[in-house]
Parts: sequence; structure tokens; C-alpha cells
Amino acid sequence: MMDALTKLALLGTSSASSCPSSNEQMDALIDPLKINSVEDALLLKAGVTSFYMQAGRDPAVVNQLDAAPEESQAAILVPTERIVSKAFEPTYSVLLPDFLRVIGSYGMRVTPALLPQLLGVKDETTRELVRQVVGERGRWLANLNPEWSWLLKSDRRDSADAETFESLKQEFDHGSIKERCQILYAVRTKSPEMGRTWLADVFPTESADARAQLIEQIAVGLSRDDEPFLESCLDGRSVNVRLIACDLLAQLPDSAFVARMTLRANAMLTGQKPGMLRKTLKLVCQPPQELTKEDERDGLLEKPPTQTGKRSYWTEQILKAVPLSHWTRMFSSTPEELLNAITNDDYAENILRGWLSSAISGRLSSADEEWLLPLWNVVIVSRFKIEQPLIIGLWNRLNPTLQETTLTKLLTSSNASLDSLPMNQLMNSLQQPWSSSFSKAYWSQFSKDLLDRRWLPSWATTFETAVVALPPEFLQSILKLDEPGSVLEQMESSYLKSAVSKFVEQARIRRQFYDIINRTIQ
Amino acid sequence: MSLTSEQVLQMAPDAASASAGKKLASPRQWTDLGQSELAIWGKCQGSAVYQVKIERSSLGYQCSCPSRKFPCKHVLGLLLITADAPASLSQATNPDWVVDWLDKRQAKAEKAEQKKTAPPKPVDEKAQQKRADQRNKKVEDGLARFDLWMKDLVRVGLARLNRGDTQIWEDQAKRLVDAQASGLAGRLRMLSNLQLTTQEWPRLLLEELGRIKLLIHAYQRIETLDEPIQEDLRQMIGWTVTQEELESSGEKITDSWAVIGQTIDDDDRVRVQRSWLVGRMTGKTVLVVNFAVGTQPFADGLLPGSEQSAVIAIYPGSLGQRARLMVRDDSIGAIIDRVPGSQTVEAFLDRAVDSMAKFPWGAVTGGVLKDVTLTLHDQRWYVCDRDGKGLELTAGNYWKLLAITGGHACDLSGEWDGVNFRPLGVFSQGGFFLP
Repeated sequence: MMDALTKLALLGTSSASSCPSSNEQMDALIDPLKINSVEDALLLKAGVTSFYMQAGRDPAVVNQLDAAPEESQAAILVPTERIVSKAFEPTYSVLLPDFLRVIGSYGMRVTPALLPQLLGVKDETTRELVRQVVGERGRWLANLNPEWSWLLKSDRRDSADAETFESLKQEFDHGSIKERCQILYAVRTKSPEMGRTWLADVFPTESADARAQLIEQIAVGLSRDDEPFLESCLDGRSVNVRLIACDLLAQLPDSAFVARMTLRANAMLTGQKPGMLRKTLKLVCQPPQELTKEDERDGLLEKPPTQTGKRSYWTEQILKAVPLSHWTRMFSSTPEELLNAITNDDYAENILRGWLSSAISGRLSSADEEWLLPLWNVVIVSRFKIEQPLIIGLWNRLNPTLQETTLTKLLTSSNASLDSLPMNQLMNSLQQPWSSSFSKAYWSQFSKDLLDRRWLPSWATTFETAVVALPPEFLQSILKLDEPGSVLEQMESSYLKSAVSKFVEQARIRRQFYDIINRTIQ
Repeated sequence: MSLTSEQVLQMAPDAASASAGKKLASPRQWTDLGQSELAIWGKCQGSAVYQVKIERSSLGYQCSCPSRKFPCKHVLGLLLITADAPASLSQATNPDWVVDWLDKRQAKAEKAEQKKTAPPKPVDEKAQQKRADQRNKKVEDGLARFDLWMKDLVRVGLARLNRGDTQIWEDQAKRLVDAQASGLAGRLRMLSNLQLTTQEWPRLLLEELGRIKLLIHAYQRIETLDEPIQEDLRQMIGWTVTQEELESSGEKITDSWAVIGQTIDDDDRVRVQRSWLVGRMTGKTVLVVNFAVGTQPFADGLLPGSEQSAVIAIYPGSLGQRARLMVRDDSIGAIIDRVPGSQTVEAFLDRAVDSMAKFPWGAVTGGVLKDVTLTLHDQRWYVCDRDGKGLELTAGNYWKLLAITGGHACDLSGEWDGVNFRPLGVFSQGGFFLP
């Protein structure tokens, strides 16, 4: 009815001699009116038709959804919900993982009103925490919204029955590359052999980029069983795939690849004991002059990255694949002695990088682990510019106790480290919550520097980590920073004031959360 | 007064004020926090110490800060404390600075009451009639000009309209305002973005122009219509009903009124707050409309999800839908019991059609749909009753409502514009939630 009228209105009535009829009943309503023009007729008919359609609208017939199943977990209470909802504001977002961890640790779930925001979280680590607290309602919702399907996929990946594997295989065959990697990762966790078989079946038909991303997942559950497949990858044309396969083979100390690289390394790094007494070991590095086809097959590249010499690069690549304990055995020396033995060599920086890479990427035996602290001690005072990923990588290899004692020493001995090292990242990788002893050391050194107004910008970079890593009993101390008469009031730097105020506000919300949830549990 | 922080934040004039209010929602930033049966108060340290007081029954407030936003961040902060940490407000007698303010409010109310009861000033009926005639003439001329413009528009064709040209509508709206037909002007301004928001704009535009044409046609023969419809037409065109007229002639209803939903529209000049209220005993659904210029506060502190005993006056007209709050009795509380509403979608549509039959231009019907479920079908949202009959919802994100209800039956409040139902709140598990 309306279409003919709309068409006329769009084109204009200037050349129309009459207005289309709407229907008999409506025309009958308009006919008695004094209509002088086509325009009047069009507008009146449009008005009447619109009311007619509106009044006669029938309800739609729709299928109802199956209701969400009953919950088995208790929900947090409304006051806790209010605090948790604050963690969706940018200022407090750093607190969300902590809140979710605590709620999950009590075996509780969040209230339904929070679910859409939580299911929309993108960060993979936080998603794992979200999974613990969304309850049946969250899973029911995720089933209705494709954007939240990650939750159900994650659930399926954790289950290990045959039916799940079958459905995962379907997703692996047809999913996006990101999803396929996640699935392969999960399958390797449950059944490394099945994961390898899935990958080997599709490997020849995949693009080089997809092969590179997929093969990285073999790192999960890596064993000698994977060696033939990885060795076969060295014969492929893709350099990226080959390099990743080499990294993986390097993690298998008994592999043929490691044996080949060890032979290259032995030829390259030789020991001398110059001088009359021949007491002090000196290592001399003589990298290859050129590469053979076999070298290239094992991931040694003819073209190094920019600003790196060929031979320097090859030195690092070769040493990266050799277990560190090999050198202690070969030269019958301690790691400290060996690190000292390279100091004057032309390739000292590359040897150090090679060893660092070996410490970070390889699987470490207990003999290899003896290298970690000596390497760390050399790295933090090194004259060479060592990249942050290598520093953080080495740091993550130290055991938690060693990390805490090392960091405590750094904090209390000299604050020079605060500026020269990525302190926030080092602190962030400590186990959370921090131990009581480390927390005390952190807080007392910070309080001291705050009074002396030293290193404060560097301290400010650690607040985001500290506000969630300090145990709850320290929150009161943070709140005192903002009290009348505190040092904060006398600060002139608006950057520092703002950083401390944010630190205090975050601590206040975290404390409110603990107060409320603890009352609920009692 | 039982408020939720969500309700308080609804009162904020803008997002920045809401955010600033949240920052002041910690009791430690306040001194002298207290409450009595009549009021809530506190002092907040800003550039100076600001005194903030709030009257419980009306949510009237005053802050000594110089902010030109209403409510200011201090008032919002104090209300948020009341909602989230009521224990931090000690029970006390009203301090002097609060008593002074309450006394002034009381005196002002009494003065207004006296004004109401005072004998009316002698009216110069001749002059009054002359003014009315002049306005009638102005409106009639304005409507005739606009009618001519509409006809020109469809003569040359709607396809000639430039996409995104809102000025053409604004110009006509201004002329209607000049002609003292501001109600119609407001209706016209709503058409200005139609071309940009939907591909169906030609049909929708023609429909609305057609409805306006019928409205003008009806107005031109207003004297032949029933008195209530005359009232409706005048109000639709732009005549206002004064408080005195409403008090003297409007129907008064005393009830416990639940605010089941609220919308706020902002057209850069005036903010319009439309609140749907349902009387618990009478089952009557009314619409209270408040206007505020810029960031000024709305006159009635109406919060969705709250309930309060009050006397309302119904505006004259055939629908008996629009109302004004006259006297508010007790302090405000949250809705805790289910409120009256339609048992089926059919019953709700019948009510909407009854209203349409009385006065088709006032086409929005508000109310509560009882025992309904939300459902998603072909990426469209519906509300569905026990019989499987449903209404399509206005385009939007209703995942939060679905999460809260979990596909179980709930009571959904909202308004029906003749095409879509716009959810304004849900009653589920004993609580009221905003969409």
C-alpha cells in the first residue's frame, strides 16, 4: 500500500495527474475531505495509511530460547559486583585479573549483569580466569553469541574424550589460523602424538606462514618422537619454518641436530691457557668463514640481520643450539670461569648472546641451570648492550626464590638498577602475590626513597605491578600515601602526584574488594 | 531513600560529571557526613570546603560549589556514598546549615502554596481573548505556510533532498517556533537525521509528513472536535498547560508510583526527560515529561527503579497519559514488588490501539509486559510472552538484559512506538535493572 505512495513522493507529483489508491477503507475516509491537489491527496493518504498499518500490527510469532540451566556455584553479592564492575574502567582494569582469581579461588561465580563485559575480554590470560567464574549462565550466553564462542572452545579443548577430539579436528581443519593454533596447542597438551599427526597430515598443503605458526605449537609436549617430523621440516623451502624447527630440535639435547651443532661449536670455540703458569683459561672464537649447504639446512643463514656481521651472527646461532653444560664439561671449568674466559675475545659479545639464547630457548638440565645466576650477574653489569627480551628471558629462567633474593639485593644495594633495568617487567614476572619478605623489602626501600625523593619516576613504573602483587596487608600502607600531611602533598611533579594518586585509588578499590568478599565468605 | 549507584549515575548531566562524581564517592574525601529523616549532607574539600545537602523526599539538592552543572560532582558523590556506603552516613540531627536550607525550601514551597490558594487576580477577559486570537492567527498562518512547504516538497520529490542536509528541517522548525507551534517544531526536528540513519527513510519520512498533514487538517477544524481531543491537539501543536490550569482542572491521582523507565533526549538546546510511572494500586500508566536547558537539572528527581507515594495531576486530553508530579509524600525507595502490567503481548497491543483510537498522534505507549522472555531470532531481538507472541525490540544491545534474565520469565518495562518495543528496564530476581 505504502510503496506506491512512497514512489510517487520520491519522484515528485509535478507530472502526476492523480494519486494512487491506498485501499477502499482508507480511500473512503479521505474521500469526503475537500482535496484540492495531488499533493494534498498524497500526504493525507500517507498519513491515514501509516495509522492504519500501525493500528493493525499483529504480534510476531517467535520461538523462545531454552532457559539457562541452574547454577552450581554461589554468586558474589551485589556490593562485590559493584566493585568488580569498577575494574572495567581504564583506571582500575589492572585489578580485574586479581578480582577474578580471588572469586575463582572461593569457587564462586560473578553475577549475570557482569557477564557481557567479561565475555568480551580479549586478553588470553584473563580469559582463563573468566572461564572459572562465569558459571552456567556465562556458557549459556556464549552459546548464543558467536563473539563469545572462545569460551566454549576453551572448555572443549580442556576436555579429552574421543567426541571432543573429533569436534576439535573439525575446527582444526576449518578454523582460522589463530583458532587452529589454539586447538593444536590444546591437543598437544593432551596427546602430543595426535597433534603431530594432525599437523603432519596437512603440513604439505599449508602456506609457509601457516606452517610457521602451526609448527610453533609442537613446543608443547616436545619429545624425541617429534624429531623425525622436525628434521623433515629442515628440508623445506621456507626459512621461517626451518628456523622454528631448528629452535625446537635444539631443545632435544640428544637429537642429531644438537650433535651436528655441537661439532660446529667445538670447531669454533677453543681454549687456551697462555702465560707461564698456564692457569687462566682463555677462550678463542673462530667462526666459520663460509657456510656449507648442510649449515644452511641447519638454520645458519647466509644473510644476517642488519647491523650484524655474518660471522658474529653465525657464532650466536651455533652456540644457541648447544647445551651450556657441554662447555663446563669440555673445558672442565665453572660457568664463572668460562664467562671470564671470553672477556677479551673479539667475539665476546656474540658468545655471550649465544649462551644467553641457549639458556633461554633450550631445555635446561640441572648442570645447565648452574649457568643461570652467573649469566645474570654478568648481564646486569655487562658493557654490551643486551636487548630487553634476552634480559627478561633469562630472568624468567631463574627460579622464584632466586628471583626474589636477586631483586631484593638489587632494590636494597644500589638503586642504579632501577634506571638501568626493566624493573617493572622483572617484578611483574615474580610469583604473585609477592612473598612477605620481598614485599617488605619493596615497601621499605620505596618508603625510604620517597622520603629522600630519589628514583621516584622509576618507582612509579612499578606501581601497576605492585598494586596487585603486594599482599592485601600492605594496602593500608599505600592508602597512607594520600593522607593529609603526607610526602605526596609536598611533591611538585604533577606526573608523580598523578602516578601516586592512581596507585592509591587502585589500592583503595582493591582493599574494598577484599573487605567485601571476605565479609561475604564469613 | 534506597538508591543504586546506577540510578544515581543516571542523574549526571554528562559522562564527565558521572566520572568526577565517582571519584568523590569515597567517604574519606568527606567530612561531617550525616543523615536524618529529612536530609543527607556532607562537606567535601575542593578548592574550598563545599557544603552539600540533599532533601530525601524530592531528591532536591544544593551545593555551595560554583559549578554550573546540575547535579554537580559533589552531589553525585554524596548520592553515590548514600547508595554504596550508607553506613558511613551517621544518623544525626540536621546541622544548622542544613536546617537553614530546608527552612528556605519550606518557605518557598509555602509561598507557592499561598500563591495557589490566593484569590485569583482579576482577569481582563477582553485582553485575554485578544491575546488568544492573536496567537490562534499566528499558529494558523504558520501551519498554513508549513502545509504549503510540505506540498512543495512532495511536488518536486523527496529524492531531491540532499543527504545529510539537516538545515532544511531546522529552518522550518524555526519558522514553526516563530509561529508559536513549538510542539510541531520538535516533531519536525526529529526528522532531520532520518536520511542518515536508515535506508527506509523515504517511506518513514512520507509517513511522518502524512501524519503531520492530518494533524494540521484536524487543527483546521478543531472547533468541530470533542473537547478532550481539542486539548490533545493544542498540546501537540505547542500550547502549554500552566501549573495553575493543571491544578485547577487536572484529574488528581494518589498512588504509590513506580518509575518503570526513563529516556533522555538531547538536541543540543533542551534535554527532554520522559519518565514512565505505574501506580501500584490504580494500575494506571502515566508519562511525566521534564525539560532542562543545557546542563540544568530536571525539575523532578525521578529515578528509574524507584517508587514513591505521590499525587499526580493528569494533563487534560483524551489519552489521560501525560502527568505531572504534584505532591510527593514519603522518601524514595526502590521498587521491590512486581508492578501492574499487561499479562500478554496481545493485551498490551490492545491497550496501544485503544490509545491510538482516541488520539493517533500520541502513539507511544508505555507499560510493563509481565512474565515475558527475551529472545534472539535471526539476529533480531524480541520480547515474547507465554503464548509465543512477540514484539520486535528497537535495535540495540540487550545482552545484559538477557544475561540477567537467563531466558527465564521476567517483567519487562518499556515503550511501544507502533513498530518496535524499546526496553527501559527489567524486573528480575527481585531487582530492577536498566538495559
